Order: sequence, then C-alpha cells, then structure tokens
Amino acid sequence: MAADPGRPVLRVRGLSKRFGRALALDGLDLVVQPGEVVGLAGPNGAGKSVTFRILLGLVRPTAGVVELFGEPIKPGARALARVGALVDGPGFVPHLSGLDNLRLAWRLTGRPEAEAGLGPALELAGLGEAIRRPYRTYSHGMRYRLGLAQALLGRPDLLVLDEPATGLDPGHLRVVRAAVASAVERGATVLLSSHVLPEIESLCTHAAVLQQGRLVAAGRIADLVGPAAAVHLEVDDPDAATAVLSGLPGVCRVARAGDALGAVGEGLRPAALFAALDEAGVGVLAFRRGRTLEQAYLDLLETAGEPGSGRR
Amino acid sequence: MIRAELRKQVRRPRTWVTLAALAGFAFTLTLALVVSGPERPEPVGDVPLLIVPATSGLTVPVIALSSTMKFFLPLAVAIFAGDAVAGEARWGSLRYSLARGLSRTRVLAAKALVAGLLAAIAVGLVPLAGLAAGVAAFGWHSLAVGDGGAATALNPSLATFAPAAAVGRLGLATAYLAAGMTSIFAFALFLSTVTTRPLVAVAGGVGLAIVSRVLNADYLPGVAVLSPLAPINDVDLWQRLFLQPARTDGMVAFGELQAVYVAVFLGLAWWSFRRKDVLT
Repeated sequence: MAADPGRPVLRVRGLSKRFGRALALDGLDLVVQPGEVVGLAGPNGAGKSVTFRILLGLVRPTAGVVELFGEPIKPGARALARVGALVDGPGFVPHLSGLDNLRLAWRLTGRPEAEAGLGPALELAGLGEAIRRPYRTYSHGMRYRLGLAQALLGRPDLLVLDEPATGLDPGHLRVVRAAVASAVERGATVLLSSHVLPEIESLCTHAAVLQQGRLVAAGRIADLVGPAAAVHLEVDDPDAATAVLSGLPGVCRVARAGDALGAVGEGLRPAALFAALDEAGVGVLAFRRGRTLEQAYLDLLETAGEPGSGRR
Repeated sequence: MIRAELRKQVRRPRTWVTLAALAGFAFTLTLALVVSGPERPEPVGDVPLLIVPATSGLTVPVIALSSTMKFFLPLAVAIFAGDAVAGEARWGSLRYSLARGLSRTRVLAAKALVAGLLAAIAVGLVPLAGLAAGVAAFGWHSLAVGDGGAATALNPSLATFAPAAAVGRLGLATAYLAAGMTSIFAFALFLSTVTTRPLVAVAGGVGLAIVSRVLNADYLPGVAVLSPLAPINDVDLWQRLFLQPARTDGMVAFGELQAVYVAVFLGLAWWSFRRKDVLT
C-alpha cells in the first residue's frame, strides 16, 4: 500500500523528550512528504536517534505529537506495520540463522509470508549461503546487511535507517544505496540519518539539520546548499589558510572542518585567493567552487552556535 | 506470536542447558544414593519424612524435589522469567518486534506464557527424571515413609503408598511446588521488564527466594511477623502430602499468598513494559 497522496507520511509537531534532567529533543517540528528521501543530519546528541525511536513507538515523548500516515504514534500503533527500520544497529537472536531470524521477525507480524518479500530482501543483503549460518558467526558488515534486509521485509511504505553506513566498508554503502533506490522506485518514503554528509547529499532529496534537539533547517538539499558564492578548499595548513582567507576582501565567513575550509562571500576571486595562499606558503590540495551540503551544514551549525566551529 | 516465541526459546542453548542441568541433578542424586548406601534413611524436609532410598525408586523424586526446591528450582524459574524480556532487549531484537507495531501487552503475554511453560517443564522435569532414574536403580515398589521426628530411625512407618498412589501424591506435590515458584517467576519477569541485563533479573528472582528463606521464624524468631508474608517460606508444605492422612493445612493460604504476589508483580511488569522507553 503506497502512502496517501497529499497527506504527509510523517508529521512531527512540538516534539520534546527529556531523559531525567537532559533535554534530548526540544520542540521539534518536521514534515516528510510521500516519496521524499530525507536525511537527518546533526552532531552527536542532536536528537536524531531519539527522534527515530519516538516515531517507531519505542520511546514515549515528553511532549508533542508524531503522526505516521495520519495516525498518532504510540506503542503498538497500526501505522508502524507500514514502517521498516534499522535503528541503532541490527538486533537478532544470536543462536538462529540469518534466514530463521528474518522468518521469525516476519511471523511475529502475523502477516502471510507471501507479503514478506523475503527474496528481494535477501538478494539485496547478498549474504549468499551465509544466510543459513547462526547470526552470532556474522561479521559486523554481514549483521548490518541482515538488518537492512529485515527493514525491507514487507516492502514498507516508510524506510527508517539510522546511520546505515557508519563504520562500514564502501561495499556496504552500495547496498544501502540499492536499498534506498529500490524503496524509492516503488514509491516508498525514506528517512535516514548520517554523520557522513556527502552520503546524505548523494542519497537524499531533502535534509533536516538538528542541533541540541532543535531543528536548525530543513528543506530540499538544493535549497539548503543555496546559491551562495563560495569556495571549498582542502589545504595542508588549515590554520594559516583560515587566517589568510579571513583577511581577504569580500570574504564574509570562513568555516573549517578538519583540513577542509569553506569561504563564503561576495565577489570571491579564485586567482586572488590562490595568490594569497601561495604567498603565505599554504598548499592547496583540492579546490571546488560552490557549496556542498557539508559546508551548508557547518554554516548552519555556526549560525546556531555550535561550539568548535570557526566563525568570523 | 506465541509459536514464534516458543520456537525462539526452544532452539536456544540456554533452555536445554538449564533443563539438562536439572535432569542431570536428578540422575547424579540417584547415583550418589546408590553409591553412598541406599539402606541409610534420608530425612526429607522439615516435617520431617524419613525414607530409605533402596526400598523404592519412588523415593528418589521425593528427595530430588526436596533438594532442589530451595535453590535450583528458583534459579531455573528465575532464568526463564528473568531472561524473557531483558534477554531480547540485550540482543536488540526487542526493539524490532516493537517497531513493527506489535502490541506490547501481547508481546509481554507471549513471553510470559512461553517462559511460564518452560519454568513449569523445569519443575516437572526434576521428579520425572528422579522417577526414571530411581525406578531404574531401586525398582517400582511401594513408597514407605517413616517418622523422622522420632528418636530413632527404627520407628514404624507413618504410611505406605502403593506405587500408583505415590505417583499421584508426587504429582500433587509437584503442582504445589510449581505454584510455589510463581511468585519468583512473576518477580523475575517484572525485573526483566525494568532492566536490560538478564543477569540482574535472574539474580533478583533468586534473591527473592533467598530473602524469603531468611525471613523465616525458624531461623530468625525476631522476624516472625514477616514470616507469613515471605513468598516461598511454605513451599515445603507439599511434604505433608506424604503423611497418612495427608495434611493440607496452610497450603490454601500459601496459594492465596502466591496469587497476591503474582498479581502484584505481573501487574507491575505489564505497567512497566507498557511505559518502558526501549533504548537498547
């Protein structure tokens, strides 16, 4: 069953969650429309995972409402049957084989096995004969692929993936891409989180940036990146380069992430920029015009006051 | 859902290790009785009963029940109950069951039913294994019970039960003992909904059994006022079923006490599980 056209797949209103004295979510609002692939970005502790857990009915919000397919979410909500999820890593019964685990997970739903779509899920996971081995013998990557297969069981209308490729090899990222692509192809909506912003940029149509439990920005990735005149650099001496760029005429902001720098401003002239860096003895390893999502993200966090971000 | 839960637990090594350990205990006990002199009378329980192992294989399940009721059976029951929810939470599979929109009440009920079934099998296995091993070692004869409270072991028997009658009373005793384990089961299940560490829930169940035994007026006269409230203090009253005539005084009250504890702890488990934030 596809999502109802015109009605948001997910609507989050004023969502807050407090664990003791810690405020994990603070009045989050978010709307996800059918067919969108939305990436949730934000630093550790921004509230991404707890948002996922609330929308899956695992955690009770302190305040606010989450609606999935128009139904308010609470533990056991019927709308959750239309969701497939991989949240906080895979979780399976260690003494059962991968295949038995998937069958067991599906049987618990009480739906006919014909609706499970076990074949395509297994094909995507690509575990081969290992699918018949006990789960406890699986490697880290195999466990994640099985988790992805479980999320795809029943061809869910909403696929929720929390950090689906973090710490895994590039081959796994290809599997995640395939999973997202197949979900999108059949009209499903995808909501994923990642620390790897290029991953979000390559997989998602939309992004939402969270910080300290609040939504900093949300929208189409193209809109978030924006038309700002910017350059993106990788240099061998980021400290010196930051100082040089900050002093250039027309540069209104410099942001840094490791060896990468982004400069935003009016009338930026690459030739002048190269000359200034060369004069300061800074080697340029990579250069690109325009902003990436990563740069936009850093700018957003800067604006929102993320500690540790350079701001001019 | 119950079938899926049963399939999961039945194929679990822990289940078989626990059951095998209990059956193994009964067989080891039989072997020890054979080796250490089966003609020697064995006192059983606080009544006490006095039975001579060599006289009948039916003596072994009685001794086995008496030997396991204070620790091994509470431990086995606590293992099945304490691991029911916390074990899945530790694996991480609990969140995926719940994230598919399964009713928490139904999930808990399925887990409680399957854990309860396994706990009942554990309790029943001890006398069954004892009976099998005992009959193999000492034969199928009438069960003679002596008065262990008398000055010597040469006192005449209190009662003699034909094998069929003895098995009937053994069945009643086992059922009573199983009922006596329900408070431990419910408490461990409640803890299992609170913690994500199965060991904590299992230890809590065993701890309740130990505390219950400590709060016994026989050992600590100063706590006599608490003794009637201790959940498993009177679990050994089944031994009076082997008197002639059988004495059942106190058994109904003990059953009522179990019912109260079970209602309270299962109610707490349900309340806790429905409200629980699943973070693992």
